Amino acid sequence: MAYSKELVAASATPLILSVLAHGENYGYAIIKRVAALTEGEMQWTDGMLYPVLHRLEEQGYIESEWRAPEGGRRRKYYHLRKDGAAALAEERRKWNVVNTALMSLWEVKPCLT
Amino acid sequence: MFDLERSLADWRDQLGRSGQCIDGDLAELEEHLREETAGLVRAGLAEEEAFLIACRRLGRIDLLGAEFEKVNLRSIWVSRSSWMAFGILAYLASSVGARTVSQVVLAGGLFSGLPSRLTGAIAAFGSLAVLLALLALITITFVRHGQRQDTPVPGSTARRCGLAIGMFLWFTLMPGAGLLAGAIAVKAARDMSEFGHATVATSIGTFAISVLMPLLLTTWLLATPRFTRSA
Repeated sequence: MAYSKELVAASATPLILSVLAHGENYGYAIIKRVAALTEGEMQWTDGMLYPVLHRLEEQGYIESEWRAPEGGRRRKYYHLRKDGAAALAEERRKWNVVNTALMSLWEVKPCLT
Repeated sequence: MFDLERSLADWRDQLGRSGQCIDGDLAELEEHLREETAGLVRAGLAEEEAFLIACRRLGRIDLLGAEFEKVNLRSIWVSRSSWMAFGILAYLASSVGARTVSQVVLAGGLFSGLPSRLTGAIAAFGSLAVLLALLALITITFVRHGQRQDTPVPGSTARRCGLAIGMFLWFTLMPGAGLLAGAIAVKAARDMSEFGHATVATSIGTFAISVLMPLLLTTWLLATPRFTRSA
């Protein structure tokens, strides 16, 4: 099923921040990680992740650095900053509110199918 | 025969041409394409197929460009205004050069006894020719070398200092030479009325140019095709 552009855009920030909360990573790996976590259900256009990353960097939530792993090509690694961790906590609170509300609504109503 | 490096370079060129991405963006996306392609090749695809699928997954170039533009807006405008400032500087430098040439022609003409009106006309249109030639030279040089650069004056501190010193010398020596030539022209004229005729003729020529040049430039601006993004 296709996810709406709005939903993808809204979830991109918490998803990226959460992946980076587990440790620094580079663009390609972040995308593959999200794809694996959502079991390929939420397919992003790969390239669209990068502008989101750059915007988060501009907001001071994450920081980036070009580095070459031993014997490998140069990659741009991103890591979470303090402000980013705070933003993630806030995102988490909001998504929990939505999630709890939907869950309780769906559980009290009998399923019609 | 499929050449991955060449295809990557083409892809990068295409995205870079829109001016919506900065250098780091392009390098990052290129790395992404490389890694995705390599992964698909390991999965058993031919390199060409792998590259095409990787491109497709990365997204359409025009949409990518549009997204990057939103993030890069500030850098894009810094770059654009620096090119505008460069354009103005180039114009000033050319016109200072042209004015000096006009004074030198005036002095030379009067010195060698050419008719004063003819001297004035040559001075005016000679300076126009010099102005246009200098502008064209600067434009061609920078279009050729500056194509891929975010700002007109990148590079080392030495090159930046060189430019600053060059500009300073140009903007002091050229008007200085013009003044000197003007003084010689006064001395060379047999009488003041001859000098007057020559300068009036120069002024008329300069006036005609100052009316024609903006008209020409406006026409050119209006006639320039718009580079619309392909939908």
